[in-house]
Amino acid sequence: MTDPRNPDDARLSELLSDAVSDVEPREALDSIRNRTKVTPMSARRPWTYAVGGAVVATAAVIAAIAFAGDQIGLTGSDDDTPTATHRPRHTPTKAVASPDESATASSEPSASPVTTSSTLAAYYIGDTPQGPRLYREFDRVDAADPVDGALQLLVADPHDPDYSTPWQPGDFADGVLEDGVVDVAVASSLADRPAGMTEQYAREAVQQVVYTVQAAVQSRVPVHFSLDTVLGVDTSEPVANAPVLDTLSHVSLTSPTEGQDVSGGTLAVEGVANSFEANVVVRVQRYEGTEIVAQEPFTAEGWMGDKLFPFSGSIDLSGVPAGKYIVMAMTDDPSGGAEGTGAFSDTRTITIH
Amino acid sequence: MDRPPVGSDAGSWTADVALEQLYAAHWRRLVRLSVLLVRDTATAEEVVQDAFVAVHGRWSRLRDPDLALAYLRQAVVNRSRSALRHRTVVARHAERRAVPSIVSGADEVTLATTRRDAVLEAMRELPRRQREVLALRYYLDLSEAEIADTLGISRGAVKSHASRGSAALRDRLIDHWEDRA
Repeated sequence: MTDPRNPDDARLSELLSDAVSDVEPREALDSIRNRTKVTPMSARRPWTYAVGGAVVATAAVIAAIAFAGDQIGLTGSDDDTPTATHRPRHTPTKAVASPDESATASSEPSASPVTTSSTLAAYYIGDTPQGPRLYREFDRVDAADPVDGALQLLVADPHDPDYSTPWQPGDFADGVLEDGVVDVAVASSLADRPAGMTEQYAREAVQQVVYTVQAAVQSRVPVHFSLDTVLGVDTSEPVANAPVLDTLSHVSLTSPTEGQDVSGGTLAVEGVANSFEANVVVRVQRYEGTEIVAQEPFTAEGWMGDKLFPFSGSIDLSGVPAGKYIVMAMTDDPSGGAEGTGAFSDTRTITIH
Repeated sequence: MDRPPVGSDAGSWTADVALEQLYAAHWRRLVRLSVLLVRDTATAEEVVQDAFVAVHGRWSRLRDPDLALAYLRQAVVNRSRSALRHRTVVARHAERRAVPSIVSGADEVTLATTRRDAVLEAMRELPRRQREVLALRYYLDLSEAEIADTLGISRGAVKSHASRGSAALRDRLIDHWEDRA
């Protein structure tokens, strides 16, 4: 687009090229190769789990998925890898504005020069008897503003290996809340639905952005994507949140968190659910095998309406031997799966001491 | 959907082979692009390395050299932006500048170095979007549409950032505008 007949354009090109002409970067192919070798990311592209429709939520299957999560590098990966599980999210430092950023901020009032650390909810995609649905996790993140924080969490790997996110670093250029709409700039390579990703998964992925951004700004604002389609989903108009019960898993655990160490003989449980007559069952079972060591009924604060209701309580673990366990929260399905839906569940791996 | 060019074997192109070819063709240029955005070479190298790792991970969804390059460019710009945000670069940069890296005729060096510093400094002082648009337009010579895609903004916005940015840069670099050393 540079016009060679325009002397100013030509001079600008010249000056910019000249300004970096002495930059000779070090060879990096080997170190890039090392990093791509450590985490074969294609192997853990999420829709490879999501394919196959309904997964029967038996203990064995869940244990197998959790184990697969370990196998494919979520726990064993090199810290240098940008996709390493939690690295970008747990830098507790507070960045100080550089002179450069203040200059930017003064001419672009929307840019905040200081990042602050805050805890935000992020939604990730997991399997349910009704196909892919969103589950909620909480995480600390350093961000310039809540929308920026939400976008950072979306591209970070979820803690729970049962969940996935299709979004990767670089997918979102920008997100700005303005006039009751959040504008999200998406990489143009994401317009089409990739082969192997189901339509339902793509829809959930778009809703994942909507729900996470809304949680960050604490308001049901629509999200306006910079592309007319995102993963093949029509986004030409601002996208509102789809109904909760059609989009989210009907149960999501807040506590315990994935990998939590539990001691003291009691397990505090907290979560949200929408379940028949507000009944939620939480059980603790051995990580190896299927033995159930504890089980408690919980009652959520409600069950009518298009929302999830909080539940909380504790489970007595006295007499439970130390070791690795799975905590599973389940909605009540009075039909036993006979009437289509089947129970929703959410699991966490914990270590009891 | 974009399809691989006729006659290419893009279909059988593996992520590893693609990575090598993209590296050979674009590594230096992309690091230089990032230097225009973040100024610091070490940071730029990190940014572009990360972008290559990301493109490798996404290979199953790109599978096309043009798409891959577009993705790489976008990743470099976005990551340069976050590098600036989280920068601890300032301190590192100060250290690095103390060591002059070029050896040749003394006067020539001074003149060229001063001019290069002035250009990088002027870029740094621009608002972020203007800096990005100028780098993509005048360094990579991208079209308006390509820049709009890369930054996820409208073509109209590209135009206005470009004209405001180049005017601002011209003002700041007025001392170096005519000298063609």
